[in-house]
Amino acid sequence: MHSPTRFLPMFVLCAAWCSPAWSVPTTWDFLPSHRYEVVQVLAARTKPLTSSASIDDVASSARALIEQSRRLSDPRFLGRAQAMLAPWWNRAEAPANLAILQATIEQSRHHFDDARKTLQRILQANPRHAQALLTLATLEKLSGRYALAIHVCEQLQDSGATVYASACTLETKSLLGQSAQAKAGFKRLVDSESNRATRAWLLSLAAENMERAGKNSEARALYLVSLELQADPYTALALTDLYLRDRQWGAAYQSLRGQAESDAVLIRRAFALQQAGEHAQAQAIVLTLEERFRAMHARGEESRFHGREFALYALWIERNPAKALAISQSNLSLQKEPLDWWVYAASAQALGDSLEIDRVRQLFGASGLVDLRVSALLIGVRP
Amino acid sequence: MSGLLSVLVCALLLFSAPVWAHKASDAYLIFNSQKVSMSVSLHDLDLALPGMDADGDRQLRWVEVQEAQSSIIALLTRTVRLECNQRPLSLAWAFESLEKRTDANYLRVAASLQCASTDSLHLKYNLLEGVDASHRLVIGGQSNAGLVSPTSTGRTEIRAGAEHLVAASGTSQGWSTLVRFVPQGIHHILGGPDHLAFLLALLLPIPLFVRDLKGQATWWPLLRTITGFTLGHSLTLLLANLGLIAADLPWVEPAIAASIAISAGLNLRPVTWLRADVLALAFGLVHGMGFAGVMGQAQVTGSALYWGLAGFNLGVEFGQLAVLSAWCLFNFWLARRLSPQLRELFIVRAGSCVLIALALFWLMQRL
Repeated sequence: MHSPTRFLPMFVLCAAWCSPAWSVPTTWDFLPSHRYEVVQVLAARTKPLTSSASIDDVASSARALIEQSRRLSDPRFLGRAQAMLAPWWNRAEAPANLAILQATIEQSRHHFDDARKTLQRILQANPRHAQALLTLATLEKLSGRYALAIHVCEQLQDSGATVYASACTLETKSLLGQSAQAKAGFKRLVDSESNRATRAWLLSLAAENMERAGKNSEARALYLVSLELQADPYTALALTDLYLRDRQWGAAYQSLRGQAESDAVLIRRAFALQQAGEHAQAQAIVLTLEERFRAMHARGEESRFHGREFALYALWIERNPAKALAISQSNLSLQKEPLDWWVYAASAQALGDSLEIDRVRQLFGASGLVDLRVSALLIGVRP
Repeated sequence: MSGLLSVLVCALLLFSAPVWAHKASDAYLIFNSQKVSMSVSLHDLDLALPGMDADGDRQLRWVEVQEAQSSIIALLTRTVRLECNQRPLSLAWAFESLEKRTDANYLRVAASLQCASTDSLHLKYNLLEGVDASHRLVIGGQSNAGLVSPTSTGRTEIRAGAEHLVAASGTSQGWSTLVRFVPQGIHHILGGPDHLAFLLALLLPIPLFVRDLKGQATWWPLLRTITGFTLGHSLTLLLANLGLIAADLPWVEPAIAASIAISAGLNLRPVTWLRADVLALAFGLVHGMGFAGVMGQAQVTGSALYWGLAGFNLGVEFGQLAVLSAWCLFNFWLARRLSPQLRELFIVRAGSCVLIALALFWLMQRL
């Protein structure tokens, strides 16, 4: 027999936490202790455009801002680049070198449908535009339309960007499960490439290929070589995820050292710390993340563009597989990269609902993507 | 060749969608009855006022911000324009504080707002117009209060209209005033160590989840005590805000400290005829006079005052309930581990001694 008074504290706690105050972003007032205290480190200043700026000047300034946004993980600069492109934004007559930057901004914001429309506009006027083809191929891969992606990669071959065209085709084939062929192809490309950054990028693609084929140690070695050649936040995250899957919490935490504190980085850090038993440190990061989510919500940001991060957060940090399953499932209508499938499958597995697992297995089977990391989660519990 | 080069640059950009460390640019405009405050990030001020980082070393120092203050205020006067019943308001912005938010440090200015709660209030906003297409103004600080993009005319919208209705009718204004004051009440009770200490002094001797010898539940006296405190401070808070009693009396703050010492002292040497709930009511009256100043600073008048008071009291109550529930959980955990004798010694006696020492320290400070 439970006395009703036992539930009093829980009830009171709920009443207090459900009050509207908790949804408002928090601020902390402060005043510097001396006159010369640095109150904000500012980003390097970009050259302002003059009234006589040519189209090429606009393109190079906007591109510099987009690069800055990526380097600093700071979306503010995308807004500034967009303002620079405003006279040509969504205009049919926009020059291709400006429209391609619009597509880049849209893709960076995960507005993939908008980006696709912009690219199709460029390709209508100029069907062999290499950059537009390359971006379109990325979008097709990301949306799981692999046959279309291969078609676009082949068009790219004709437009002269050979390394990119080959890498594009190889990566798509790798996604379709032709990992041995992709492995040999990537090795050939890496060996004949002299540019450091391009080599690093090709190595990270080769590493992902190995990971999908279930060869973790080969993948790890390739990621490490790639990062040695050129530090890259995306590659660092991929390596971290590999460590997390192998339950190497310390290595996972270390591999994010020095990374810009993006939501994706913080979620992984908090998870690694939690798993390693460092609950206090993990909790501090979780509070930061919650604060960011509140601020994002206050500015009307649509959460569907951040579905992958929210699903990982629900699965790893909130330990709420039902919520993670719902988010990761709707996220698949936005993007279908291997990690998106992985978080969907991992949520279903964590929930332990065999009907849901069957459903994921069916959808994943129909997607055409071959990835042992995902299928391993689904095979283990086959009835 | 240059075409291929740009392919190379963009290829690396495009193959992986970037990950963000925070959100895009925002400013916040918070209405507080007779006052409006505006928070702008220092990054955005730097963008709008290239001269602010005077030495150009990209390390923005406090002195540089101070020296740029008049141009910051001129900028905001130009770009944040409020109209009360279609009549432009002249806002006398004044620096209030720097504030840390999740993505950057911000500068906050405030101005008094000469617009009755029944009048219409419109906003024209142009900060960073044409400079940052994703800049937004968050109104009210809450997600549902409003969101504005900078535009110069009503026609060329980037995302939303140039003119935005912020407050129209008296009733919805009342409700929003109430909601706005709830967090202030919570903040006040949780942020003020003396109120918390008093609450703890009252809570210490009450053993929870342990029925007394007559088999009666012990949460009932607890509820009476907490409610007594609430009634007490709500009453004086109301009277002080209506101007019926003076709030800023010199003895209030020392009396609050003394009330903690007395309550804790009574835990050590109980006086049988003195009931905890009556005592809580009496001291609640004193604490209410301490809260009154907060509402005075918010400059709430007219019918909004009642809404504000209701919200503030609700907030204080939420805060108290949060502390109470934490205490309940702790007690529940403790009851299984400590015998009643040990609990009496470590929790009631030792706890009360600590509170007495703390209260005496505050009393000395405030006298």
